[in-house]
Amino acid sequence: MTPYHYGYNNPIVYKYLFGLLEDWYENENGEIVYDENVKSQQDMNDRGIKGTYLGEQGTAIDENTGKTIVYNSDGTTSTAEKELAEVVVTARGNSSGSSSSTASADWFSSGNLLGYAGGVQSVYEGAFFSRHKFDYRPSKGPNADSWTTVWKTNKAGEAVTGINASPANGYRILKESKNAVKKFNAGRILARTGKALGALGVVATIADGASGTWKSYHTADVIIGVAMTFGPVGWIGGLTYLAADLVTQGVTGKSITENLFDGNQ
Amino acid sequence: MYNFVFYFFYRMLSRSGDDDSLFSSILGVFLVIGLHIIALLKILAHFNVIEGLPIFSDTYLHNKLYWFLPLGVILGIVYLYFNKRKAKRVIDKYSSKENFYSLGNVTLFIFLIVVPAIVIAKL
Repeated sequence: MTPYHYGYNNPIVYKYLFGLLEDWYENENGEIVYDENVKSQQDMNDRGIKGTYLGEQGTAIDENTGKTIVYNSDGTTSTAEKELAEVVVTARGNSSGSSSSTASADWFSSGNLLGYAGGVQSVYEGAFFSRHKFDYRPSKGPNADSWTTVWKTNKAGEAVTGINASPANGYRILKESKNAVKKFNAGRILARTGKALGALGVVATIADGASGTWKSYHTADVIIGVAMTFGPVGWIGGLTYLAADLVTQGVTGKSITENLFDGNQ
Repeated sequence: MYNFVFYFFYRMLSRSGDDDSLFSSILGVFLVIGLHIIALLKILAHFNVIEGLPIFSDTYLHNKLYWFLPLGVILGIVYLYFNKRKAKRVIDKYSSKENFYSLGNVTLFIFLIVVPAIVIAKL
Protein backbone atom coordinates (compact mmCIF):
# COMPACT_ATOMS: atom_id res chain seq x y z
CA MET A 1 0.00 0.00 0.00
CA THR A 2 1.42 3.34 -1.01
CA PRO A 3 0.85 6.67 0.74
CA TYR A 4 -1.56 7.45 -2.08
CA HIS A 5 -3.67 4.36 -1.91
CA TYR A 6 -6.65 6.52 -0.96
CA GLY A 7 -6.23 8.30 -4.30
CA TYR A 8 -6.37 5.03 -6.22
CA ASN A 9 -2.58 5.18 -6.45
CA ASN A 10 -2.99 8.01 -8.87
CA PRO A 11 -1.83 11.33 -7.49
CA ILE A 12 -1.49 12.81 -10.95
CA VAL A 13 -5.16 12.58 -11.80
CA TYR A 14 -6.32 13.07 -8.24
CA LYS A 15 -4.58 16.30 -7.68
CA TYR A 16 -7.60 18.57 -7.63
CA LEU A 17 -9.90 16.83 -5.28
CA PHE A 18 -12.04 19.74 -4.17
CA GLY A 19 -15.10 17.58 -3.72
CA LEU A 20 -16.47 18.48 -7.15
CA LEU A 21 -15.46 15.40 -9.02
CA GLU A 22 -17.81 13.18 -11.01
CA ASP A 23 -18.54 11.81 -14.45
CA TRP A 24 -15.12 10.80 -15.84
CA TYR A 25 -13.88 7.29 -15.40
CA GLU A 26 -10.96 5.22 -16.53
CA ASN A 27 -12.06 2.11 -18.32
CA GLU A 28 -10.33 -1.23 -18.26
CA ASN A 29 -8.17 -0.24 -21.24
CA GLY A 30 -6.79 2.75 -19.39
CA GLU A 31 -8.80 5.25 -21.43
CA ILE A 32 -10.44 8.22 -19.79
CA VAL A 33 -14.10 8.15 -20.76
CA TYR A 34 -16.90 10.61 -20.08
CA ASP A 35 -20.37 9.37 -19.22
CA GLU A 36 -22.90 11.74 -17.74
CA ASN A 37 -24.78 8.87 -16.17
CA VAL A 38 -21.81 7.82 -14.12
CA LYS A 39 -21.55 9.81 -10.94
CA SER A 40 -19.83 7.40 -8.63
CA GLN A 41 -17.99 4.12 -8.48
CA GLN A 42 -21.27 2.65 -7.29
CA ASP A 43 -22.97 3.78 -10.52
CA MET A 44 -20.28 1.99 -12.51
CA ASN A 45 -20.65 -1.15 -10.44
CA ASP A 46 -24.43 -1.06 -10.84
CA ARG A 47 -24.09 -0.78 -14.62
CA GLY A 48 -21.39 -3.38 -14.89
CA ILE A 49 -18.83 -0.88 -16.19
CA LYS A 50 -15.30 -2.01 -15.47
CA GLY A 51 -12.87 0.68 -14.47
CA THR A 52 -12.16 3.32 -11.92
CA TYR A 53 -14.38 6.30 -11.28
CA LEU A 54 -12.34 9.51 -11.52
CA GLY A 55 -14.56 12.50 -11.17
CA GLU A 56 -16.42 15.35 -12.84
CA GLN A 57 -13.28 17.22 -13.71
CA GLY A 58 -9.60 16.79 -13.29
CA THR A 59 -6.28 16.95 -14.99
CA ALA A 60 -3.65 14.65 -16.37
CA ILE A 61 -0.42 14.95 -18.25
CA ASP A 62 -0.15 14.39 -21.97
CA GLU A 63 2.82 12.12 -22.12
CA ASN A 64 3.74 13.20 -25.65
CA THR A 65 3.58 16.96 -25.27
CA GLY A 66 4.12 17.44 -21.57
CA LYS A 67 1.10 19.71 -21.48
CA THR A 68 -1.63 19.54 -18.93
CA ILE A 69 -4.91 18.00 -20.10
CA VAL A 70 -7.96 19.39 -18.39
CA TYR A 71 -10.98 17.10 -18.28
CA ASN A 72 -13.89 19.49 -18.03
CA SER A 73 -17.18 18.88 -16.27
CA ASP A 74 -19.15 19.20 -19.52
CA GLY A 75 -17.39 16.18 -21.03
CA THR A 76 -14.90 18.07 -23.15
CA THR A 77 -11.16 18.27 -22.76
CA SER A 78 -8.81 21.16 -23.16
CA THR A 79 -5.11 21.58 -22.96
CA ALA A 80 -3.61 23.96 -20.51
CA GLU A 81 -1.45 26.67 -22.01
CA LYS A 82 1.58 26.18 -19.88
CA GLU A 83 3.89 23.27 -20.11
CA LEU A 84 5.34 21.86 -17.02
CA ALA A 85 8.60 23.45 -16.15
CA GLU A 86 11.51 22.20 -14.20
CA VAL A 87 10.62 21.79 -10.61
CA VAL A 88 12.23 23.51 -7.72
CA VAL A 89 10.30 23.29 -4.52
CA THR A 90 10.66 26.41 -2.50
CA ALA A 91 7.12 27.12 -1.40
CA ARG A 92 4.42 25.76 0.77
CA GLY A 93 0.65 25.96 0.68
CA ASN A 94 -2.22 26.00 3.10
CA SER A 95 -5.55 24.24 2.88
CA SER A 96 -7.69 27.23 2.04
CA GLY A 97 -6.86 27.27 -1.63
CA SER A 98 -4.42 30.12 -1.49
CA SER A 99 -0.72 29.79 -1.24
CA SER A 100 1.88 31.17 1.02
CA SER A 101 5.56 30.99 0.64
CA THR A 102 8.38 30.72 3.05
CA ALA A 103 11.25 30.91 0.63
CA SER A 104 9.90 32.63 -2.45
CA ALA A 105 6.53 33.04 -4.12
CA ASP A 106 7.06 30.33 -6.63
CA TRP A 107 3.65 28.85 -7.04
CA PHE A 108 0.06 29.86 -6.80
CA SER A 109 -3.39 28.53 -7.46
CA SER A 110 -6.10 30.23 -9.44
CA GLY A 111 -9.44 28.52 -9.28
CA ASN A 112 -9.02 24.98 -10.39
CA LEU A 113 -5.91 25.57 -12.44
CA LEU A 114 -2.48 26.21 -11.16
CA GLY A 115 -0.01 28.70 -12.36
CA TYR A 116 3.66 29.03 -11.80
CA ALA A 117 6.28 31.70 -11.75
CA GLY A 118 10.00 31.77 -11.76
CA GLY A 119 10.30 28.52 -13.63
CA VAL A 120 8.67 26.59 -10.85
CA GLN A 121 5.69 24.30 -11.19
CA SER A 122 4.24 23.08 -7.96
CA VAL A 123 0.81 21.80 -7.33
CA TYR A 124 -1.39 22.67 -4.46
CA GLU A 125 -3.73 19.87 -3.65
CA GLY A 126 -6.53 21.45 -1.66
CA ALA A 127 -7.96 20.27 1.59
CA PHE A 128 -8.11 16.58 0.78
CA PHE A 129 -4.44 16.44 -0.04
CA SER A 130 -3.47 19.22 2.26
CA ARG A 131 -0.51 17.31 3.58
CA HIS A 132 0.90 16.62 0.15
CA LYS A 133 1.77 18.50 -2.93
CA PHE A 134 3.11 17.16 -6.17
CA ASP A 135 5.87 18.35 -8.39
CA TYR A 136 6.37 16.62 -11.65
CA ARG A 137 7.65 16.71 -15.17
CA PRO A 138 6.65 14.54 -18.10
CA SER A 139 8.58 11.45 -18.91
CA LYS A 140 8.34 12.15 -22.66
CA GLY A 141 8.33 15.20 -24.86
CA PRO A 142 10.36 18.39 -24.62
CA ASN A 143 11.19 17.81 -20.99
CA ALA A 144 11.74 14.09 -21.27
CA ASP A 145 13.80 12.16 -18.78
CA SER A 146 13.18 14.69 -16.10
CA TRP A 147 12.14 13.63 -12.70
CA THR A 148 8.77 13.38 -11.04
CA THR A 149 8.56 13.95 -7.37
CA VAL A 150 5.83 13.88 -4.82
CA TRP A 151 6.67 16.06 -1.91
CA LYS A 152 5.25 15.14 1.41
CA THR A 153 4.59 18.03 3.68
CA ASN A 154 3.90 18.33 7.35
CA LYS A 155 0.66 19.75 8.71
CA ALA A 156 1.98 23.26 8.26
CA GLY A 157 2.47 22.57 4.56
CA GLU A 158 6.23 22.58 4.79
CA ALA A 159 7.98 20.17 2.47
CA VAL A 160 9.73 17.61 4.58
CA THR A 161 10.60 14.84 2.17
CA GLY A 162 10.35 13.90 -1.46
CA ILE A 163 9.40 10.59 -3.00
CA ASN A 164 10.41 9.55 -6.45
CA ALA A 165 6.98 9.21 -8.01
CA SER A 166 8.11 7.99 -11.38
CA PRO A 167 5.95 5.54 -13.35
CA ALA A 168 8.45 2.86 -12.40
CA ASN A 169 7.39 3.34 -8.82
CA GLY A 170 3.74 2.98 -9.60
CA TYR A 171 2.85 6.60 -10.30
CA ARG A 172 1.34 6.88 -13.72
CA ILE A 173 1.31 9.75 -16.15
CA LEU A 174 -1.77 9.27 -18.24
CA LYS A 175 -1.93 9.55 -21.97
CA GLU A 176 -4.64 11.68 -23.43
CA SER A 177 -7.45 9.43 -24.43
CA LYS A 178 -8.92 9.55 -27.89
CA ASN A 179 -12.22 8.80 -26.23
CA ALA A 180 -12.00 11.76 -23.91
CA VAL A 181 -14.64 13.73 -25.69
CA LYS A 182 -18.32 13.92 -25.08
CA LYS A 183 -19.84 11.42 -27.43
CA PHE A 184 -22.76 12.34 -29.62
CA ASN A 185 -25.05 9.44 -29.10
CA ALA A 186 -27.87 9.41 -31.62
CA GLY A 187 -29.27 6.21 -30.13
CA ARG A 188 -29.66 7.78 -26.74
CA ILE A 189 -31.33 10.87 -28.17
CA LEU A 190 -33.86 8.68 -30.00
CA ALA A 191 -34.37 6.60 -26.88
CA ARG A 192 -35.00 9.72 -24.85
CA THR A 193 -37.39 11.02 -27.49
CA GLY A 194 -39.35 7.76 -27.37
CA LYS A 195 -39.44 7.81 -23.60
CA ALA A 196 -40.49 11.45 -23.45
CA LEU A 197 -43.29 10.84 -25.95
CA GLY A 198 -44.40 7.91 -23.83
CA ALA A 199 -44.54 10.06 -20.70
CA LEU A 200 -46.29 12.89 -22.51
CA GLY A 201 -48.76 10.38 -23.92
CA VAL A 202 -49.58 9.04 -20.47
CA VAL A 203 -50.33 12.45 -18.98
CA ALA A 204 -52.19 13.59 -22.12
CA THR A 205 -54.30 10.43 -21.98
CA ILE A 206 -55.10 11.03 -18.33
CA ALA A 207 -56.01 14.63 -19.16
CA ASP A 208 -58.29 13.48 -21.98
CA GLY A 209 -59.92 10.87 -19.78
CA ALA A 210 -60.35 13.33 -16.95
CA SER A 211 -62.01 15.88 -19.21
CA GLY A 212 -64.73 13.44 -20.24
CA THR A 213 -65.58 9.85 -19.56
CA TRP A 214 -62.80 7.41 -18.78
CA LYS A 215 -62.89 4.55 -21.26
CA SER A 216 -61.02 1.35 -21.87
CA TYR A 217 -58.77 2.88 -24.49
CA HIS A 218 -57.57 5.42 -21.93
CA THR A 219 -56.46 2.58 -19.68
CA ALA A 220 -54.81 0.80 -22.58
CA ASP A 221 -52.93 3.92 -23.66
CA VAL A 222 -51.74 4.64 -20.10
CA ILE A 223 -50.36 1.12 -19.84
CA ILE A 224 -48.68 1.39 -23.24
CA GLY A 225 -47.25 4.81 -22.38
CA VAL A 226 -45.80 3.62 -19.07
CA ALA A 227 -44.26 0.65 -20.86
CA MET A 228 -42.70 3.03 -23.38
CA THR A 229 -41.31 5.24 -20.63
CA PHE A 230 -39.99 2.73 -18.13
CA GLY A 231 -40.42 -0.68 -19.61
CA PRO A 232 -38.77 -2.85 -22.19
CA VAL A 233 -40.71 -1.43 -25.15
CA GLY A 234 -38.03 1.12 -25.91
CA TRP A 235 -37.92 3.95 -28.36
CA ILE A 236 -38.31 1.80 -31.47
CA GLY A 237 -41.60 0.40 -30.22
CA GLY A 238 -42.65 3.78 -28.88
CA LEU A 239 -42.07 5.80 -32.02
CA THR A 240 -43.45 3.01 -34.21
CA TYR A 241 -46.60 2.93 -32.11
CA LEU A 242 -47.03 6.69 -32.36
CA ALA A 243 -46.61 6.59 -36.13
CA ALA A 244 -49.02 3.67 -36.42
CA ASP A 245 -51.50 5.49 -34.21
CA LEU A 246 -51.42 8.55 -36.43
CA VAL A 247 -51.89 6.45 -39.57
CA THR A 248 -54.74 4.51 -38.00
CA GLN A 249 -56.34 7.77 -36.91
CA GLY A 250 -56.09 9.09 -40.44
CA VAL A 251 -57.55 5.97 -42.04
CA THR A 252 -60.25 4.98 -39.57
CA GLY A 253 -60.90 8.20 -37.69
CA LYS A 254 -60.02 6.49 -34.43
CA SER A 255 -56.82 5.62 -32.63
CA ILE A 256 -55.54 2.06 -32.36
CA THR A 257 -56.80 1.54 -28.84
CA GLU A 258 -60.17 3.09 -29.67
CA ASN A 259 -60.54 0.56 -32.46
CA LEU A 260 -59.39 -2.29 -30.26
CA PHE A 261 -61.24 -1.60 -27.04
CA ASP A 262 -64.08 0.82 -27.70
CA GLY A 263 -64.79 0.36 -31.35
CA ASN A 264 -68.54 0.60 -31.04
CA GLN A 265 -68.71 3.52 -28.66
CA MET B 1 -41.43 16.34 -2.33
CA TYR B 2 -40.50 15.99 -5.98
CA ASN B 3 -36.85 15.50 -5.02
CA PHE B 4 -38.00 12.49 -3.07
CA VAL B 5 -39.98 11.24 -6.06
CA PHE B 6 -36.93 11.77 -8.29
CA TYR B 7 -34.66 9.73 -6.08
CA PHE B 8 -37.30 7.05 -5.61
CA PHE B 9 -37.44 6.54 -9.38
CA TYR B 10 -33.67 6.93 -9.79
CA ARG B 11 -32.79 4.28 -7.27
CA MET B 12 -35.45 1.88 -8.49
CA LEU B 13 -34.55 2.30 -12.16
CA SER B 14 -30.77 2.26 -11.77
CA ARG B 15 -31.00 -0.98 -9.82
CA SER B 16 -33.27 -2.49 -12.42
CA GLY B 17 -30.66 -1.89 -15.10
CA ASP B 18 -32.05 1.21 -16.82
CA ASP B 19 -29.07 2.62 -18.71
CA ASP B 20 -30.49 6.13 -18.66
CA SER B 21 -31.99 6.19 -15.22
CA LEU B 22 -31.43 9.92 -14.69
CA PHE B 23 -33.61 10.87 -17.63
CA SER B 24 -36.17 8.18 -16.83
CA SER B 25 -36.36 9.54 -13.29
CA ILE B 26 -37.10 13.01 -14.66
CA LEU B 27 -39.93 11.50 -16.69
CA GLY B 28 -41.17 9.79 -13.54
CA VAL B 29 -41.28 13.12 -11.75
CA PHE B 30 -43.08 14.61 -14.75
CA LEU B 31 -45.73 11.87 -14.60
CA VAL B 32 -46.36 12.54 -10.91
CA ILE B 33 -46.48 16.32 -11.47
CA GLY B 34 -48.86 15.76 -14.39
CA LEU B 35 -51.15 13.70 -12.16
CA HIS B 36 -51.09 16.41 -9.52
CA ILE B 37 -51.87 19.18 -12.01
CA ILE B 38 -54.80 17.27 -13.51
CA ALA B 39 -56.09 16.44 -10.04
CA LEU B 40 -55.83 20.10 -9.10
CA LEU B 41 -57.74 21.11 -12.22
CA LYS B 42 -60.42 18.54 -11.39
CA ILE B 43 -60.74 19.96 -7.87
CA LEU B 44 -61.00 23.49 -9.24
CA ALA B 45 -63.63 22.34 -11.71
CA HIS B 46 -65.51 20.51 -8.96
CA PHE B 47 -65.79 23.74 -6.99
CA ASN B 48 -66.71 25.67 -10.16
CA VAL B 49 -63.58 27.78 -10.11
CA ILE B 50 -62.99 26.71 -13.68
CA GLU B 51 -65.37 25.14 -16.17
CA GLY B 52 -63.38 21.97 -16.55
CA LEU B 53 -60.33 20.55 -18.21
CA PRO B 54 -59.82 22.06 -21.64
CA ILE B 55 -60.94 20.00 -24.63
CA PHE B 56 -58.98 21.03 -27.68
CA SER B 57 -60.56 18.60 -30.14
CA ASP B 58 -63.40 16.10 -30.27
CA THR B 59 -61.06 13.53 -31.74
CA TYR B 60 -59.29 11.55 -29.04
CA LEU B 61 -55.84 11.40 -30.64
CA HIS B 62 -55.94 15.01 -31.77
CA ASN B 63 -56.94 16.14 -28.30
CA LYS B 64 -54.01 14.22 -26.88
CA LEU B 65 -51.61 15.79 -29.34
CA TYR B 66 -52.85 19.27 -28.42
CA TRP B 67 -52.18 18.41 -24.79
CA PHE B 68 -48.59 17.65 -25.76
CA LEU B 69 -47.90 21.37 -26.16
CA PRO B 70 -48.52 22.61 -22.57
CA LEU B 71 -47.30 19.32 -21.14
CA GLY B 72 -44.13 19.58 -23.22
CA VAL B 73 -43.41 22.94 -21.62
CA ILE B 74 -43.85 21.43 -18.17
CA LEU B 75 -41.62 18.51 -19.10
CA GLY B 76 -38.97 20.97 -20.29
CA ILE B 77 -39.11 22.85 -17.01
CA VAL B 78 -38.77 19.63 -15.03
CA TYR B 79 -35.87 18.55 -17.25
CA LEU B 80 -34.06 21.82 -16.74
CA TYR B 81 -34.78 21.81 -13.01
CA PHE B 82 -33.20 18.41 -12.50
CA ASN B 83 -29.95 19.35 -14.17
CA LYS B 84 -26.74 17.52 -13.41
CA ARG B 85 -25.88 19.59 -10.37
CA LYS B 86 -29.35 19.37 -8.91
CA ALA B 87 -29.60 15.66 -9.62
CA LYS B 88 -26.26 15.05 -7.95
CA ARG B 89 -27.31 17.02 -4.88
CA VAL B 90 -30.55 15.07 -4.60
CA ILE B 91 -28.80 11.74 -5.09
CA ASP B 92 -26.13 12.62 -2.55
CA LYS B 93 -28.75 13.73 -0.06
CA TYR B 94 -30.90 10.62 -0.20
CA SER B 95 -28.23 8.02 -0.88
CA SER B 96 -26.69 8.71 2.50
CA LYS B 97 -29.89 7.67 4.23
CA GLU B 98 -30.16 4.07 5.25
CA ASN B 99 -33.16 1.96 4.33
CA PHE B 100 -34.60 4.38 1.82
CA TYR B 101 -37.29 1.91 0.80
CA SER B 102 -38.80 1.89 4.26
CA LEU B 103 -42.48 1.25 4.74
CA GLY B 104 -43.01 4.95 5.36
CA ASN B 105 -41.25 6.07 2.18
CA VAL B 106 -42.97 3.47 -0.01
CA THR B 107 -46.33 4.44 1.48
CA LEU B 108 -45.59 8.12 0.83
CA PHE B 109 -44.69 7.37 -2.78
CA ILE B 110 -47.88 5.37 -3.36
CA PHE B 111 -49.85 8.09 -1.59
CA LEU B 112 -48.48 10.73 -3.97
CA ILE B 113 -49.75 8.73 -6.95
CA VAL B 114 -52.91 7.05 -5.68
CA VAL B 115 -54.55 10.05 -4.04
CA PRO B 116 -54.51 12.27 -7.14
CA ALA B 117 -55.59 9.28 -9.22
CA ILE B 118 -58.60 8.81 -6.96
CA VAL B 119 -59.37 12.52 -7.15
CA ILE B 120 -59.27 12.36 -10.96
CA ALA B 121 -61.47 9.26 -11.06
CA LYS B 122 -64.08 10.32 -8.53
CA LEU B 123 -64.55 14.04 -9.06
